[in-house]
Amino acid sequence: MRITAEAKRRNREKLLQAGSELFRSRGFDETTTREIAEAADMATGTVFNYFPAKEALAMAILDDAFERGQARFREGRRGGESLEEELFAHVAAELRELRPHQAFVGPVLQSAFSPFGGSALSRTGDDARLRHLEQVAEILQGHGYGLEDAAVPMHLYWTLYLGVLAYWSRDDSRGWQDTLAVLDQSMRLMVDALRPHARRGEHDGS
Amino acid sequence: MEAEFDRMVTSLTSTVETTPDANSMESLVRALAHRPVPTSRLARLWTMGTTQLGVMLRSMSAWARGALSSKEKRELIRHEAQIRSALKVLRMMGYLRGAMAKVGQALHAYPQVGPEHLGDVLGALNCEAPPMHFALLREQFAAELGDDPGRVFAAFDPQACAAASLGQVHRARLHGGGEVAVKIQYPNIARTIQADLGTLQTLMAPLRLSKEWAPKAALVRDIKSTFLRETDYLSEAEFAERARRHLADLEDIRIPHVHRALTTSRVLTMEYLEGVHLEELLEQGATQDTKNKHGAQIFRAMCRLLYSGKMIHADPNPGNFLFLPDGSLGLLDFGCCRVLSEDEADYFEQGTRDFVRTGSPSDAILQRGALLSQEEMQDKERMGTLRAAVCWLWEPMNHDAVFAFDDAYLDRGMGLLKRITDKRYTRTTPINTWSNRMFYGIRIVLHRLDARFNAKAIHDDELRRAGYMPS
Repeated sequence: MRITAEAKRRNREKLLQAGSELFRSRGFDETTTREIAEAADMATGTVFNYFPAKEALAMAILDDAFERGQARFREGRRGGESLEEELFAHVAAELRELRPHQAFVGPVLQSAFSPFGGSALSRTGDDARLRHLEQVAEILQGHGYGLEDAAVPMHLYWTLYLGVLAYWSRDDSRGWQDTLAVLDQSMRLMVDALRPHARRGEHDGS
Repeated sequence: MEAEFDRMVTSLTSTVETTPDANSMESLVRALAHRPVPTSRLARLWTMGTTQLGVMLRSMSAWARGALSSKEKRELIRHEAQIRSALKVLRMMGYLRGAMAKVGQALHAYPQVGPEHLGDVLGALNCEAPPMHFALLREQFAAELGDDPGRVFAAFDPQACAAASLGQVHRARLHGGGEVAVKIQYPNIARTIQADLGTLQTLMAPLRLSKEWAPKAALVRDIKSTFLRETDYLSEAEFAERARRHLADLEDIRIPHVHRALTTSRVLTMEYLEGVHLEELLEQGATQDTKNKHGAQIFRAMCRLLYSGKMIHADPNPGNFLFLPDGSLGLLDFGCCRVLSEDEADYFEQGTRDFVRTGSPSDAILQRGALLSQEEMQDKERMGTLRAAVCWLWEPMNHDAVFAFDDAYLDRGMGLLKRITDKRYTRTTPINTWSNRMFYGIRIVLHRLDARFNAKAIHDDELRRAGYMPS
């Protein structure tokens, strides 16, 4: 029996919802694909029609959160923010959407955002990384930064960003105080490193 | 030989980091605004260590150059070294914010104790700490109160209206009406303070072998617990409410009402008071009558809090007094307060009774306050200096007429304080550290205000109210 696109979309949502709840309540490593399928009222084999592995399902959950975070950031812009503030707000918006999934961000992104690449999960992570960096590039251009020789600064940014994510994934401080401080310091460090790359005659990102 | 010496001196001074245009306050504050606040102990230890090294290197270079110079040139070099040291310390304190900023503000209250010009330079810390941007503040606020400030309040100004040493203040309007001031703390500042004070204890380690260790260690512990209490705005709210209760009958002294439902340990929402700070009051050309009246209000408020409220407001810096258009005084920032323990209250009561009886502190009170051994009590110079310092504090309350907190009075007091520091008569019971901040701090504010009023009349009135003197 052929399944409609709408039905496929609903099934995918059910799997994501079931996976999210189980990862939160039982832990990522402890949750099996069979359990996700049962919770979504599907056969185990059906899961693999949508996601090649548990990790890919988890990455899809996080990817949705990243997208929502970026949308939240774009909606929340007031205009006139400093470069530090925009870079901070971008990441902070993502973290807000990622919050329900904090428990399994570490294990999943460890593969998905691995700099060594190669796995199916890391290819999904590449898409998320590119979207994030496109937004960062847009922020930088809006503050007068030329991107002609931006490879090194962007690499620095990505390193700082991964550091913040890794830190946050284990942060149990009240209100994620520690992460807010680390994120603030990281983005200020990033802006300090960017100053030599400001276009001549344009403001330096302050 | 001289050329080699010059090269050595040059290399010593060149290892100390400087900023372009380092003598410009404006450029310094701008530079500070772009510095993050390191919160790990190692990072702060490195920074403090670098600064200590910098100060030492500058002193060494000054000494080295001085050894080859005339007396006049030595004075100039010393002066330059002190200014550079002061600027370096300022950069460190602003950079580190947290506890070091509070220490910086405390030093500013003693303008003649530190190196020349250090007081002026550190004065910038009173009201000019660099701000958090709105995105950070929004996250901090949402983490504490569950939603963005734009939704919790009917209106919220994203621009800070004032700086606090641990955060900043924004104006807002409640949904039910009413203007409020919302103080929001920088994230993770408690850990910053613990790191700072842990570093201070580490740097004090060489004292362990001396008899100064126990009181110094007790002092650092006391400072730590008080500073950490400052990071808890719920504690500040309680102090503010305690102060309001004790000053309730004084209609011309106002303490902002705290909105408890919108207050957590890191967000404090208070009634907004419209007024000006000390420097603006003076710039507006306040009359002598106005200055006298405000001076009397400040003095009465502190006496009331101490004698009736059994509490010390240990941060009487100019930023914490507001002068309202109707002539009232606003008292702000109850983060650095101490409620006296039973033993401490007894100590102050005994000291006050000494004063009422004889106008001078007894040997017993000096011993108790300065933790003196029997041998030290035989030291006439030490006892004389300590007694003179206490008598200086009591001088306005012993003068049965209008008292002027003028240059001559302040110079005498600062001279005594400097002698105490130079002679290392600084050992003291921890509560004196806080009461001295209030006593000296108030006198410096009253001096700045050029206030003249009958302090004895106010003081005696408050003593009667608290039962220290018969009505």
